[in-house]
Amino acid sequence: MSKTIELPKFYEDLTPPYLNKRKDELKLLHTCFVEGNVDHIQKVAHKIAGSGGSYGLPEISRLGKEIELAAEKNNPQELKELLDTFTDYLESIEVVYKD
Amino acid sequence: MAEKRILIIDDDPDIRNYFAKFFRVLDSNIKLHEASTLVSAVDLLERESVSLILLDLRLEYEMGVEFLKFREDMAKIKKIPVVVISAHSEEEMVRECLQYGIKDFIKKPFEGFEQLKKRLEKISSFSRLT
Repeated sequence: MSKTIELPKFYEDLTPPYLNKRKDELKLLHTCFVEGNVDHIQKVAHKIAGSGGSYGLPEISRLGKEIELAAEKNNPQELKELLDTFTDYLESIEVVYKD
Repeated sequence: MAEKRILIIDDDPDIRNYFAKFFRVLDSNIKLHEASTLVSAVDLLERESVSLILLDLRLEYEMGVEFLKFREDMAKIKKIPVVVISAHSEEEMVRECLQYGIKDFIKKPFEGFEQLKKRLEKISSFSRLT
């Protein structure tokens, strides 16, 4: 089910490329997970935690922080669930911009 | 009107992009210089005069606090106000940065355009810019 998020016009040219980058990045994170490269997942997730809310999408920051912590704990089951949740979230949102 | 220059030191291009848009909207007379490493930041500071530095604490291969330490011994750079922007906000880390005379410590992610604007406007050196 898709979820519509309303953001101010300020984000109109910022957020679409940001979301596309996250989708590409998630494919890489899934590959890192399979290869057991949790250090890279932790680094990338740290950046996601710091940027998502700045782009008007605090849920992305929240998930980024959780992924970062799960990678730090090296908890594969939690990490897999969170990466899947993040994938579902990115696939489910539709962002609209208003004045 | 003279161009106002600000330097952001952050290895995350998404944060640099965010600030590029932020300052473009805030004042078209502000020129944002970008550096993703401390070496490139110092190199830029040797060539350019800037009025404010925004500094991330956790860079790809180095810690922003190293820049604050380095700045202590560089008269030209030491005068430039620094605002730390970081996803880390542990008390100890904030205290260490404050020891180096930073103007503010702003936690990532930022809450929104107006909130960030208000926060920066509290810094006198920034208010003089805008």
